[in-house]
Amino acid sequence: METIRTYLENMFANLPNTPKVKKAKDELWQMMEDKYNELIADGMSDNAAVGTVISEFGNLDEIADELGIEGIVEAADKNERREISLDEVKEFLTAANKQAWQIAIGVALCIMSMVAPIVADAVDISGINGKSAWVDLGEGISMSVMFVLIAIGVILFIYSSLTMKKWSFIEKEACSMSVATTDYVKESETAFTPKYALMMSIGVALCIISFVPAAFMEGLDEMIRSSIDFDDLGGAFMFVLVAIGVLLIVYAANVKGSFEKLIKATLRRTSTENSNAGEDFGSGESKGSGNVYTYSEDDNDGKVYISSSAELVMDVFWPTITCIYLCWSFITFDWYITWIIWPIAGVLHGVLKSMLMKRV
Amino acid sequence: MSNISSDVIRGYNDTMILFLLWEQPSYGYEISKQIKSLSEEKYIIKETTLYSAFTRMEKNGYIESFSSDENGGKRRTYYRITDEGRQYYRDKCAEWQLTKDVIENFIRNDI
Repeated sequence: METIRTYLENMFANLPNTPKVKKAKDELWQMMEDKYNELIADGMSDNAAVGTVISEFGNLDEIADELGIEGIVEAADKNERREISLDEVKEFLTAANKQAWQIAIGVALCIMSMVAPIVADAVDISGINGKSAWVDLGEGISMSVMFVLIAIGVILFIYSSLTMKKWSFIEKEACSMSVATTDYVKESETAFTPKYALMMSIGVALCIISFVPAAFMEGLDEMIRSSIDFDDLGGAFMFVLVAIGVLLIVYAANVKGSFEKLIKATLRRTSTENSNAGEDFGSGESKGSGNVYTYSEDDNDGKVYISSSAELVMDVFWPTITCIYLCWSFITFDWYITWIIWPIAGVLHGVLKSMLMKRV
Repeated sequence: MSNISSDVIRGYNDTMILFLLWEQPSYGYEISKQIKSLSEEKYIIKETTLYSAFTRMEKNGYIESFSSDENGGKRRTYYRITDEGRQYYRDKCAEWQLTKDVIENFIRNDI
């Protein structure tokens, strides 16, 4: 049985991953499996059964028309659909992983940069010796540290976007991947999912508990009278925790995004396919390559909402969140904590989207 | 025994499949098994040939596919014949009678 599966996988390995190809593969597999099972039930040996099934399989050329392979071969000849090889996919995923770290660290550094002035402010040196020159020096150093951290962050953003320029075609052009390559991408994505879930939850948890040190520090401030302002230092801790949390969230989201980019690149339509599609629908007779990729080019990857009310909920989701954020912030004036709405809303949006959408 | 040339029989794969679907819906392997036994094992249809015929006839509206769970829990694609399919089958039968009559005149049995 395994031999037959491998045989079929190999036959299809170099074909583009389209719904038609997948359907053909599934159904041919059904027939081969049935035939194999019956031959075995009739008392044939495993080797003989595998041999019979494979010899009676036929030739993929026969179903080339049905699969729309010819159209794709032509499109590839005209360089309309860029083929992404397995090696390229591996290289892209490595680069994307590196870029995810760079961006995540960059964002974290920008958030951390706020810590320096807060610490400088909290450790009020003037209280110790009363020399204003020290205060100026402390302020100067803390501001420099802040700007250096921001600068490093910005350098990381620019550097990472320059290194990824090579791969920009994945985000713009219509591409194709063989079935084997697509499977590799999907396997990698599945392998990353537990890590993604863990990083996301730790990241969000860190953001949520970030105010805890600040709350304790406030108490500490009243207990210990010293030149160090523990209350302010709590603010510094908050930024550190948020920075680590955001680092995890940004990294995880970026890596996940890189898998989705690859899949999306193969769903995109070429310009000729777009114009062909119109003609096909017009004549009511669909043929050739024009209708192989009947996906819409929106962000939902061929998914639709399960009901119109679900769509309505998602449409008003961000405006509602914005409204809650502004109301809460202006009423309580707790701006330091109200931002927490955004990461929570972001995660909630993802959850709702996966719950309220289905594949067509 | 001489083998059937696939070029010759190709035009009549549809006829065989529609004949087998006439009474009740069926699925890929069942059909290929019946073709084998009804032809007294003289013709074994290839899986790709069968799939090609299914998709072509479905596109032309002669058959419809639906998936169904068997008792064993295995999910299969079944095909059922449509009214157009029945008409097409009648046409193909008439065509075959004509073809047979024509070719028959050119077949010598005495050599």
